[in-house]
Amino acid sequence: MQAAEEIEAMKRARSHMYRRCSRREMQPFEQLLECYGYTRLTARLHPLCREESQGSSLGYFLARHRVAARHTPYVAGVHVAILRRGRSRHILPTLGLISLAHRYGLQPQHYVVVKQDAAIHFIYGRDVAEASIVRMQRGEGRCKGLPLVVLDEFWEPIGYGTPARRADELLIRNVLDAGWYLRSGV
Amino acid sequence: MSHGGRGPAPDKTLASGLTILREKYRHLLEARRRGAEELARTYPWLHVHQAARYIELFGERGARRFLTVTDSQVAKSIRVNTLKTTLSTLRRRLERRGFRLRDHPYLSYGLIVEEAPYSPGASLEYLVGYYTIQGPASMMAVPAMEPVDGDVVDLCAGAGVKTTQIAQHSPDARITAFDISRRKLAALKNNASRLGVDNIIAYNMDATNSVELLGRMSQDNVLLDAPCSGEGLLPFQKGRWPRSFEDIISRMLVQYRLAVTAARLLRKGGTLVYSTCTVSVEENEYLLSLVLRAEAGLEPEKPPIRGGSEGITDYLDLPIDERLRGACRRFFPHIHGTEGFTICRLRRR
Repeated sequence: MQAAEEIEAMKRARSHMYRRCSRREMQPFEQLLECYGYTRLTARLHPLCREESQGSSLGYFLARHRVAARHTPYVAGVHVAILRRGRSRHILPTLGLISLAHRYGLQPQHYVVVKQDAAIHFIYGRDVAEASIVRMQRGEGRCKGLPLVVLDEFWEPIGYGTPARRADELLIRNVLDAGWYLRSGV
Repeated sequence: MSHGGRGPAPDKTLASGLTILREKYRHLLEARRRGAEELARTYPWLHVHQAARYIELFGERGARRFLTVTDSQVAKSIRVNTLKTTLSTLRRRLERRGFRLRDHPYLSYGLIVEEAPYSPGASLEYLVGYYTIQGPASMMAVPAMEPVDGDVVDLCAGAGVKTTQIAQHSPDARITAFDISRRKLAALKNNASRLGVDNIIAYNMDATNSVELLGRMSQDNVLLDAPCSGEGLLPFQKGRWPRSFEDIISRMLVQYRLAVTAARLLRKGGTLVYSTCTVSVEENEYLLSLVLRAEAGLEPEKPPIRGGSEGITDYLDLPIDERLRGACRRFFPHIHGTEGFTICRLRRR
């Protein structure tokens, strides 16, 4: 009896439900996937949406299987992007996106390749100096506002960065790096 | 760990099984008190009850050998994430960084770390998701289950180390994971993300309620890596704390409810792997003997893995199902150089 109540409570927790993304919600996400050249991911995986932070943002997930509408899991698939709502509405990719793309052998189209030493520093949260940039390719208009995928010399994705200028020198500012998995402490 | 489960209630089979066990414990203490007290004096963290049980299990010399093993004598290992790389590629990369590695003796995608220039959990290869850290015996539980690309459940998923290993074996399976701890599921979420595993759906709830959620006889494979007394971790400092007879019994109460739940989830022909990080017979072969008596249609089956030694059915004169000798594999720190671990396999007829 009590078990049924627990499940009922889960059903009621609508705000935390994984659900199919609406067409409007899919637009910025599809744009993001197009920018990085990762559109093939949605051919294999189901995009799911979930309200985050009491509705101030929307989480995007890619999962192999759909979630039954009556269920409210804690985790479904991989968290791949987040849409911040409000005045400065923008979408940002997460580490899960490059991890999945890497697993499926997809190379990004909006990227910067950095030397191996710089890659090690990058995963410790550091920026990348111009001298350590091996190659950079910036996507077209649809990539506006999106960070570059940072790749090491083996073309492995290690995070995201944005190009910036400091004292007339180009640098890649660290936006998010794989070292977060350790630093997050979970 | 407390267990607020509201799944199957402890039944008569368990109650009578525990009565027999308590009686055997009473006799054990009478018979082994002297030796046990002497052993407990040598190891101040050791409970006399524990010492008596180890003497019964291994003999006096064996118990001493078991208790003298330290963490440096237990193999450290990593599991290669074959969803992203191959063993040979990763091995080459890590060896170039100064790691000294050898093949896992029983598993094609495991590596034993003999020497590491820094923590294996801090390398770029780890962060990119090429491997994860997992005990050499613990990584045998999933191969023992032989997961299929169907419906698979991990009842006590924790941080998802074995859950992601299931995904490695069965990338198309629908894997449902449960854990009562939100914090552990947050770690599962990160592990799945890092390793690029997209077929896990995890619930933050008591696994004994999973039958209500998924349905009876709905799963092809069930992994129950049950919460236990952790006696397989005695070589490590964190595992050295006293366990009384009642501590073992309290674990069995939780394990029984979870194991009955696991059995009820299992589809006809499906396999259930029950594993624990303990060497205790009470929490493994004896517990499963009680489950086999209570749940019809289950039968012990030899797990398709190499390594370890066979299950123990001759202990304290307890009524243990003889078939579990072949259906369980045991790993001991002082014999196999791994963490203490037990893996048993059952199938629903």
